[in-house]
Amino acid sequence: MPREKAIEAENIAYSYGDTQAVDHISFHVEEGEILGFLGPNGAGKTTTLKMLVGLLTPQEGRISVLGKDIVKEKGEIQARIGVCFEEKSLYEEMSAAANLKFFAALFGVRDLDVAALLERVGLSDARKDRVANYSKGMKQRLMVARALVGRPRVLFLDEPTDGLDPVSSEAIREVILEEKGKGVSVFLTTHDMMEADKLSDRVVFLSEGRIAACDTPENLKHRYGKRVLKVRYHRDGELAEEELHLEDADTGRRVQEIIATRRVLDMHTEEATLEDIFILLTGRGLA
Amino acid sequence: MRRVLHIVRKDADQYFRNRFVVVISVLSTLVFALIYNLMPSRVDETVKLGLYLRTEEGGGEAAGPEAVRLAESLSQAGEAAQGAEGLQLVWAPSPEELRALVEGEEVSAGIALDLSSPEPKVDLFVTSQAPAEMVGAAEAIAREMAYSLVGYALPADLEATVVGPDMAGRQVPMRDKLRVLLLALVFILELYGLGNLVMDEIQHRTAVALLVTPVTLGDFVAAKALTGVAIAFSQGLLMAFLLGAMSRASWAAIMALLFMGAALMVGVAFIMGAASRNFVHMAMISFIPVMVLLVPGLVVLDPGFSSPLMKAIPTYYLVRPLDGIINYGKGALSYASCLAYLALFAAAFFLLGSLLMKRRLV
Repeated sequence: MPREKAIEAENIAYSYGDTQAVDHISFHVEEGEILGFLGPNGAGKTTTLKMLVGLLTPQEGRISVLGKDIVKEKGEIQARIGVCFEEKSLYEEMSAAANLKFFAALFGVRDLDVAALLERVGLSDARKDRVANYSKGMKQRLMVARALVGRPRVLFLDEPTDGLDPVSSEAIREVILEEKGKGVSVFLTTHDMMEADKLSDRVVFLSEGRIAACDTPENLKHRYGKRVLKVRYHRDGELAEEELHLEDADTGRRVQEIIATRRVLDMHTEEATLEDIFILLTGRGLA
Repeated sequence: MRRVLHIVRKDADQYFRNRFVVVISVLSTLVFALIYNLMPSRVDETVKLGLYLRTEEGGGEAAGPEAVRLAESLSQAGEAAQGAEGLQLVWAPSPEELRALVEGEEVSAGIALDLSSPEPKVDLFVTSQAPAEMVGAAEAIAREMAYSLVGYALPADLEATVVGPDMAGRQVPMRDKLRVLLLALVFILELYGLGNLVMDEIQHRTAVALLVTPVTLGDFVAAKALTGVAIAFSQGLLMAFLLGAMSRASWAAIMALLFMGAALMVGVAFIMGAASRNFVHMAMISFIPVMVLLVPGLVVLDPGFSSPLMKAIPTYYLVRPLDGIINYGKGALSYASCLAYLALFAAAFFLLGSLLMKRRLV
């Protein structure tokens, strides 16, 4: 049975003067699904996100979130979503707990367990410190925590782990997966293909405001990637490397031959990354 | 409304966390109150009177025996009064020079007596700032002098020629005039605190973070306006109390003016905050406009600087009624048009500031 659509964008477009930032794109996010929105800087990811959360009105097309029209029922939608922008937007003179309490009050949430929420993002020890004294990673974790105070049904995360240390990134990824486990839909914009691969149920490749591909990472890799087996061995006292395509008919025979005649150093399969596929489809990288 | 109040509470908290703004606000209040209390509360009571006397055809000073006696006795009285409070006499060689003395405010009034023709002529010149009592006293002296010299009362009423704009009012000590300027200054200083509040929300993108919650742009603007008016109004009110500007008769009018002034400042602060990148940038771009806003307050101290252009400055409509009500005991009704203009300016600035903010936010 198909799941309900938490987000549905139909033929949406937005331009800044002569620059077409988003060029008539359509996509949807199902309930409890994580959609990775991949693209390089300037591809139109943030403009799309701004339209989805009601900061910009689509110049063309239609957006519905949780079954409501973003233009006509913006207030009702914004009461049920959580947004985490790439740029830090915290009250730096206030503590983490005060920031969360303030936003909870705006959502009308009276019984928020601030300590538990800060614990989830690993900030319980610093909850009384001024946010101005936080590191970049701590601020980002607080931004994610803030996006959760209104108990959202849909989360919008704009580059949530960009430039963060591995510990902070992992903490944020865990929270995202926990929310997905609760049935929360997640719209995740990123140019980190590793992150998109790890987290997303489906990914959208966005390039110059247009969708180049939209599918699960596995399907994309299957369709566009080439699976290879890399073998390194010693030959005449020197290190040699051989790349064998798994789909080729004589790969098995060749592997047996190498093992029988050479001293094998290591052997492993390699898949195409999402970045490889992005480059293949758009002719440009994600950075 | 609940959301607006939550933002107002947060804003007030944030405002008072900004040590620079708090120090400036508290310091300015204390320093202004100190300045006011250190200034003399009484006016200089020495009156300088300019004189010109002509008794014979062909010009010259007092030549007849009566005139000579009068002149001598006046001179002696003038010398005796020199250095002490009271009357000082300054003789002028011609009516033109007497007028120049009055225009240059070297004397408070000038009396030109021309007794050389069968119909004696008396001209009385007064400065624009001479109080009514001064004019009356000068008139009395002129009549007495003319009577002593010609032996009968002057046939016609004596008309005073006012040199410069006629201030026709009571003489107000400088420190009382200063109160209006200090109140204007308090508002101007609040501009920076309020502007900083708006600029901070825009620059740190917290305003955008608010706008993706149930908070609408209207809620955001209303909260900032409420915070701004509350802070500026309470600061103005405190200053008015400290400066002794509130009286039983005028408190309602003063409060209404302070409220309107606070609203005007919020509108200006919206523009300053929305147009600035940081506090220094705000201070730089607002320097000239803020100086212009201060000019009407300075004109209260010296009405000689007054000009029709003053009416184009929004604070004119705040300062003028404040001056009239606080210093001259006039009623608020006589400044109804000022209040209307003030409301119009406040609304225009508020609208412009809100539009600028909206433009910066989305």
